[in-house]
Amino acid sequence: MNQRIPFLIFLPGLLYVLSGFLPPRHQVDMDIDGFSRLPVQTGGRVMPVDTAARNQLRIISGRQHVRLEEGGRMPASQWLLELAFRPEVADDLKVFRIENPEVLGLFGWDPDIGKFFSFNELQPHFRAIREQAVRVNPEAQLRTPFEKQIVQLHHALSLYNELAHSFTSTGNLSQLEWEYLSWLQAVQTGRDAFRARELGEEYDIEAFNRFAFLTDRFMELSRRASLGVIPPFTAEQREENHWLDIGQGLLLTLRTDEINPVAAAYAQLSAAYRAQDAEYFNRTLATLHAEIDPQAPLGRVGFEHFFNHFAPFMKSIVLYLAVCLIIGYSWLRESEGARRGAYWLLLLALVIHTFGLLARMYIQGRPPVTNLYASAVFTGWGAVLLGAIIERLQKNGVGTLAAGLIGFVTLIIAHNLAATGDTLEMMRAVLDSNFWLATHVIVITLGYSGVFLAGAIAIVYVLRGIFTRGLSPELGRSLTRMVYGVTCFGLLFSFVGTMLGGVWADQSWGRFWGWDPKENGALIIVLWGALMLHARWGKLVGDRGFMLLAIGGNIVTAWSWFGTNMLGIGLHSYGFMDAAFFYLIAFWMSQLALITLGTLPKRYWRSPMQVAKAT
Amino acid sequence: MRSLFLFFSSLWLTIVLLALSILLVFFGTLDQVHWGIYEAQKRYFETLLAVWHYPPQWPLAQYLKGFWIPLPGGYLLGALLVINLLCAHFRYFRPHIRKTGIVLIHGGVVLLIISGFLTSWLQQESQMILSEGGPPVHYSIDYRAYELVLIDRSNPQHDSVTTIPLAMLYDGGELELPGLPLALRTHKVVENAGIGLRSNIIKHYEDLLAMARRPDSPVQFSAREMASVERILAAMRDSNALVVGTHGDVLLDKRGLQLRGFADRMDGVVHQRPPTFKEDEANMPAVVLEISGPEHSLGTWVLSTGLVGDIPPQFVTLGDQEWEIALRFKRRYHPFSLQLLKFSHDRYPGTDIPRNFSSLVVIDNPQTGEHRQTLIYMNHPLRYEGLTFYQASFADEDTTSILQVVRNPGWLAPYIAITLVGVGMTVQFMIHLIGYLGRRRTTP
Repeated sequence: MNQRIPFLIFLPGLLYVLSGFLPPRHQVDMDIDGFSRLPVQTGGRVMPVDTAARNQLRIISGRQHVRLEEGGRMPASQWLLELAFRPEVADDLKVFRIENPEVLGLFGWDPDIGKFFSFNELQPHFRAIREQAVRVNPEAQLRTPFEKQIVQLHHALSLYNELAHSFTSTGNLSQLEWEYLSWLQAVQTGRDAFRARELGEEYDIEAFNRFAFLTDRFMELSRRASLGVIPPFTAEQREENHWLDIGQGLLLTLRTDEINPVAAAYAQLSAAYRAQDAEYFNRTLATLHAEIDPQAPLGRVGFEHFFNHFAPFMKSIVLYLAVCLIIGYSWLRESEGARRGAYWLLLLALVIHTFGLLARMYIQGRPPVTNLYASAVFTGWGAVLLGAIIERLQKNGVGTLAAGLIGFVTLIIAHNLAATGDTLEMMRAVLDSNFWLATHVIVITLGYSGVFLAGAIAIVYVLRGIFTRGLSPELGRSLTRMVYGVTCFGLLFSFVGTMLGGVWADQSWGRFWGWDPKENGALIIVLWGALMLHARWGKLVGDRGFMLLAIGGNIVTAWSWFGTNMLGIGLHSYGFMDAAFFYLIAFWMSQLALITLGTLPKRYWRSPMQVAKAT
Repeated sequence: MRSLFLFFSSLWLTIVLLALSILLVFFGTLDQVHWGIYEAQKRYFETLLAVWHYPPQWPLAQYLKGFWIPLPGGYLLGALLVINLLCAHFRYFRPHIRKTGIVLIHGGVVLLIISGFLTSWLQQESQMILSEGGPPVHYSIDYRAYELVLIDRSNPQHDSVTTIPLAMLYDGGELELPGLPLALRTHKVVENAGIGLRSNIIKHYEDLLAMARRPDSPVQFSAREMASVERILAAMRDSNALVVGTHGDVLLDKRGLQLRGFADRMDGVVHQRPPTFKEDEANMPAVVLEISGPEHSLGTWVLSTGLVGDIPPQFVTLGDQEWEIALRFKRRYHPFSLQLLKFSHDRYPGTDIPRNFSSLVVIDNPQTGEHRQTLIYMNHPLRYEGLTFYQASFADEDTTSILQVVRNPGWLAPYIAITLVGVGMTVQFMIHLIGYLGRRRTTP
């Protein structure tokens, strides 16, 4: 029986992962999945509609799907489909997230009625929103929660509006084909009128006016539309990979004397969707794919679609949590089988996590760490890898638990950081250096992994020692050795990473060190590591003191990783109201509490501590 | 003596110094929010003693306002760490192969700290501003230093420029100018000031007050701020006031002064402002200066770095000699010039996210006869004649390029230092790791 336990633990995990390969289910027979695969460009990057819809919906509502009032969920790409082609349906969907009671009060609403509202519910209050939005403090960091929410809502409304006008013109959505046809005629007759007018001859005023009116209208549309839906047209656009928005696409008629086939197909798609004609919809979709796909980096776009659907990091989160629970069980029941099962599950989670990392690298064509989100994913990955190695060396479950804990927490952090939009955004000019991204950033992030892993093992030491009898003298010694080794690793990587940053700065700006907050944060980690090791070598601390210092490493690293970013944004305020700041303080408090707990006199520890002192 | 050596070589001292360094860096970073990176660096890292005050913007400031923490500054900690390291080395070091890593690490750390001192003393930064289609520029500007200049343009071949650092001028100070028949007497120096026509300033404040009093005004003033603005207005309306303080007190009266130039002809006044510490703002000092010839006073001038644009230049005349006088940001002249051919600001398609900034410039060096084009862009600065020119900013709708110019003669030291430490750490940890794995293998 005992032999089978690891399999019994591993198998459900594997099945859970494999479930990601099942195709997405939709209630309608229209090929919504096919729509979500269409390539579009936003933020300078070509991506599947699915990603664009998820990113925008995440900014508007904080979620990647819409919760329907009648129960069930609507995926982001279907929501976008409604918004673009059936705005009368979309405008009743509750997607705008408003949590601030003062903002709700502005609209005369009670906080109890929920936190999601539809466009139509907000419409009577647009004036109030606009008025409040212009009055907010111009310095973002000094804004009150009310002002922040107003700005956020104002931004969400304009995003919503831009998205709604990104696929078609703004006329009658069922009869766009007629509108486009009359535009084609207007171009032909209007051009003659225009030429005649230039020459001072008699011209058709009505044709001229219609031409001018429609041209103006599409230029306005181009200012509003936020997605590049039409592949590059000229050689120069192809060179720059510049996709055209729908307004620019319709204006192409001025050059080609025909309606751009992609624009025309989107108009048909609109008519088909409005008529809920599945066959027509699917046929039009096939035309669209045939038009667009040859001009898009299809491998990447298709892969990104799979990546979104497979959601590797979400799967890893679940697996890491399971790992932690199973290790806890294995210690309670002293079950070696459960420990091994948890270890296998950890390896499975690591594989999925690694797959997610590599997938992001492939989609973006960049080294793994390019922004704060990616640093959270990578820090977790590094710590899990190290933890798995430690478990392999010392088969006692501690490495697995510490790895699972950090993997779980860092991916949750990443998940929350994603709410700001595209996590695969383009790199701003100064960061546009794959060499330094691949060296400095990777090394320093692995340094974070090391320090956090040491801290997590130390937490296991304190909690197990105080609350259980499980911390035997041998285990205590072995944990100390682990923390010592991991700290050495963390110090080496933090130091080398920090100094590589200095080299980057010197190469780019002619100065090695600029006392920038992020640099200072990294320096503090290095100083802390040096302090820990000197205290250890000088026998100024014993096993327990060393462990408590390692927990302190968590505080220091959290500061360097997140705290310094909170300072950097504005020069005048600390953004005390920011949720992230609250979590940072909460994390610090929890670590201080653990350190304080660890200083409890040894007679209160349930595990025998006297012997563990020996080194 | 022996106990002193024991103290300076002790590991406890190391721990204390490291802990204090952590605190110093932490509080220094916190204060960058208020002082900006440059000023915080001066107050925490390039000093012997630093003091952190509880910021009034923080919660509970009403109770903790007077709370402060003294800390040893960067110079003191750096010096003590080096002493501690050297003493400990002599006390504990026994030559052994297992210690090579430690020696390398500590050698590197000492060198790193020393290179920090070198950089702090020797590094100079300035900016070179180039406009597209503009003339070659052979100087860069240091926005944190100011100089008084007297320019004699009588020679058609070249101008003779006499510069006096603003730091040499102080209220009531007198200065003879060697080589020139002139002497200076400083009536007032203001570190940061607005300067303008009295009527304009009065109008500006009147408009501000009128707007603030409207019920739907977007600007809201507290009662104290209102009172302060009213005091400033009252002071400005006093036609004898020449320098008005931040709170509306008259710092210098024009009676008894023979005003010339801007202050005389255009009724120019100086309005003191609190110094700025923002990274993207410069202080605009102003000075009220009396200039005398060999026999008698020639008059009093108001000068400021803010006097640019449509304000005509000011002149001092003595007999048939004439000098243009001005207060300006310090210029560092180079024996070569750069000329901007083209500045480019590339964005990602369909977005405002910048992809690259680059400046195509011509280097012209009459000393070496060099005349060539080069491209300065992100992560690829120009290194020339011991200077690094990097693309720092741009202006005027992408037609002006601003290059940061850095001179750091000690640039090589950190490279050697970090190589030593990096190699040392790797060696030392490898020794540990191999030892640990070896022990694992022998004890089943």
